[in-house]
Amino acid sequence: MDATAFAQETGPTITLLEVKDSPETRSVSFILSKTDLATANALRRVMIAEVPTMAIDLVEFESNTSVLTDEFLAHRLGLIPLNSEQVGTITYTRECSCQQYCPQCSVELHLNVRCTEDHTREVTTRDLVSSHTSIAPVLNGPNDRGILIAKLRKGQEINLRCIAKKGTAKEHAKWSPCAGVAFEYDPHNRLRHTTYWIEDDVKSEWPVSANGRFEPEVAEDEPFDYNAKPEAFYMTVEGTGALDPKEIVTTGLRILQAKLSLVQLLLKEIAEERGAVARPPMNGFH
Amino acid sequence: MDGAPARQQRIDVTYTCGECGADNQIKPREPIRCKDCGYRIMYKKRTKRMVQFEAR
Repeated sequence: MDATAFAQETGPTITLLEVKDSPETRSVSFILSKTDLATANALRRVMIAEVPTMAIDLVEFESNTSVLTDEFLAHRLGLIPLNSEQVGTITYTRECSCQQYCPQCSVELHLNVRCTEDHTREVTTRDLVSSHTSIAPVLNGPNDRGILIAKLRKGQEINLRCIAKKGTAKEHAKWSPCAGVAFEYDPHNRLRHTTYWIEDDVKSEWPVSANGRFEPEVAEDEPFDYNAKPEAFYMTVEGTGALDPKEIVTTGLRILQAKLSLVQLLLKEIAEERGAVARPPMNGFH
Repeated sequence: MDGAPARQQRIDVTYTCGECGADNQIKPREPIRCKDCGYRIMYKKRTKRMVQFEAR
């Protein structure tokens, strides 16, 4: 596919609506238009499941005298979002030349906590010590207390080593950089892709979403256009903190583009092998 | 770890009593009974070796 397709008048367009960048929410809202439903949904799925991040994948316990089992703690550790801005510098373990794992394809984190006081000791992500300068548990400023991992009573201890690896959410959801992705089209239900369950009146029982302001309301006497297709897609991408939401969208688009160009290349090869008649080039977006 | 395991040299396994918490060394074919309180439920201790888990 031609890389300039995005810039062309006819190509898909993104209209940025809002960028939230506070410790509470980090999200981007935009309208994706001049494309079809399948493409918009493909972008949503790629952002959720195919944008790589770092996550703890192996946990080696030296000791654990807490009330929580080893596998319980291992699972909790895996779900902790790690700052993955530097994920590009790490290779996938399966593609790495090493035997098991090495500094090129993994990051080591240590957790060594023992409760010596009479009151409960809370073990949080602040206790996780990373060997990497930036790949470490996500923290929102100096006042963030971190994510609670376990609680210890006097005399209990946890001593373990974590191996964080690069991965994508199609393998395990812990690698997803998205906390939530909102996806809406046709806010007035003009296309009748949905049927509302009502008691008396649709308008009072089903309030139109905030995206309704971008499209005209459906008139009472308007005939139903059964050929109409959705054209604008309203999306909001909320990150876990592992990646900046803007980064999620741009990497998502790049991955989608790479996948489509691979398909195009292979189709071209097949066509050349068979000496097929020349056809107009596939754009991948129509 | 260090070569073939010696047949004769059996290391006694230490168990913890479920009643008084005392450590008991019980040899094979020996009655399972706490030497301190006579209780018959014993708990095996956690391994001193590292244990690895997949965080999934």
